[in-house]
Amino acid sequence: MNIFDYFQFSFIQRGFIVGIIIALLGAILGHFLVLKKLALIGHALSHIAYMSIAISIVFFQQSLWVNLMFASIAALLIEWLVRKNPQQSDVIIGVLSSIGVAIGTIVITTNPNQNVTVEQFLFGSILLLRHIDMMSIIVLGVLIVAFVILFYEDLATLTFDRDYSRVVGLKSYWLDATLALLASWLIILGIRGVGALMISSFIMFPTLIASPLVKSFKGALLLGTMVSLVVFVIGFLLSLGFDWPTGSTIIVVYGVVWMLTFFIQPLRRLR
Amino acid sequence: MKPSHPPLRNNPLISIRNLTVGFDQTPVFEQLNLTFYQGDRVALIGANGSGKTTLLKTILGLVEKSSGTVDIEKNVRIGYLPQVLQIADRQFPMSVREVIQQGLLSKRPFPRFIKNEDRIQMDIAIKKAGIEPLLDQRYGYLSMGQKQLVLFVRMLLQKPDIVFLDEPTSSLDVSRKDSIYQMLAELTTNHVAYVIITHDLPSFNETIDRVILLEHSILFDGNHREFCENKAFSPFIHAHGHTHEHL
Repeated sequence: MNIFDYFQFSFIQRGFIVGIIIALLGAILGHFLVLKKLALIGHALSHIAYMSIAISIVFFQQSLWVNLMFASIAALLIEWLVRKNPQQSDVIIGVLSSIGVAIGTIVITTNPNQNVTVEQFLFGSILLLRHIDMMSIIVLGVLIVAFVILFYEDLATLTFDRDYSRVVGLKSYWLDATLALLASWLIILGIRGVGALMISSFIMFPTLIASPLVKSFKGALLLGTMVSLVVFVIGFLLSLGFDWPTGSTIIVVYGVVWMLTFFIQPLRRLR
Repeated sequence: MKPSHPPLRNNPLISIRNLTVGFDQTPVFEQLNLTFYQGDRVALIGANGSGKTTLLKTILGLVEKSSGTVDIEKNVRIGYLPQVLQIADRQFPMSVREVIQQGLLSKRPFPRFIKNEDRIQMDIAIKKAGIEPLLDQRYGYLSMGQKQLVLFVRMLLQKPDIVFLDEPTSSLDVSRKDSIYQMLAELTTNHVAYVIITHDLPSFNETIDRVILLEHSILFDGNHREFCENKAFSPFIHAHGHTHEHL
């Protein structure tokens, strides 16, 4: 069977569309989070999302709204704690991640429904996505793109120079909180596809790869999203061709591209 | 040098009353009373740890006050030139053009798409500062002096009524210092007030009217010449390696 023959199946098409959207949105949100030195917020949110999904499976019939509510509370809490204790942000994010995984694992082991396993959420499966997952991610995509277009200048200034943005009257707390909320929703909706262990890579890799290669903020954002798109397509096709897990394959491709940038950087003169 | 434009004492811009700021129960300064006027040309000096930067950040709303008030008159626009080292590292992808554009941010209503007239205003400021060749470079790769100049242009584009500059010349060579002084002098022709935190007092001989000496409280607030003539402060001035003749 040719790799492209797989695309006649609707679950493959769905996985492909959802994956592309997650890759693009991860790159867009990640651009601001990574450059604000808050990349690990994605890491903490993914672990807490794992907890909230476990709770919603066991107690709330997998309600998406319960997941989103938990994730939103967690996002705002992390954002607040990090803002209040900027010097300890890495430690706070680290311990909250552990708490999320610990509670999630305890809850999921009490689950009477043995059809649901921990692995499903830790590693995800992009081929098991439902129609509602696709529709939800499309709605979220519209929200994120609209937010970033409308507030691009504010977000860029805030990311570059927080004090200045406050002096000129930007609503920095509101922007920070909205970014954290949108990231938490992306993680909740993406976790079924790419897994709690790997979704934060979709947020971190694109900016990590693109930032050293271009001079401008906008250039890095555009390059990051393009790289993410290409990496996803290559990873998706490789996973189909070799029957590897999709999320893991994509992360490996990200890793290879990242390493390639070490060779490209000296060739580019950015001065 | 441009002729001096005396401050307009009947036009206060920022009034500070009984201001106390402290961290962990230890006050950085207590019960400060200060007023900045339109056209004021102020040097805020003091030893390290005397509370200068904390006072500046409190006025700007970046540090919470313990008690007292900071009243900013309605429609007064505040400009801010932070210390260069505080912002972004080499890895941060942001072009000089993008940094300067941030100066237009506060006057553009939401959504803040850049209009043609903004671009024209920006081009004029860029040309005046002579930084056209830097525009498409990465900000993080500039020298300290170039960064300072870029941030200065960003600040000017805000069309401020009063500007606060945190150690603006500490990392500059003589020619860069001169261009900063020149731009400061031009500000006062429009009665823009400025407050400079500096260890570099003597070199501001023609661009400073008023000196405020802060050592957890205000030890001196008055005329530049009076400050220099007061024997009590001469150790302070000499500590910066300059003689009275230069003042």
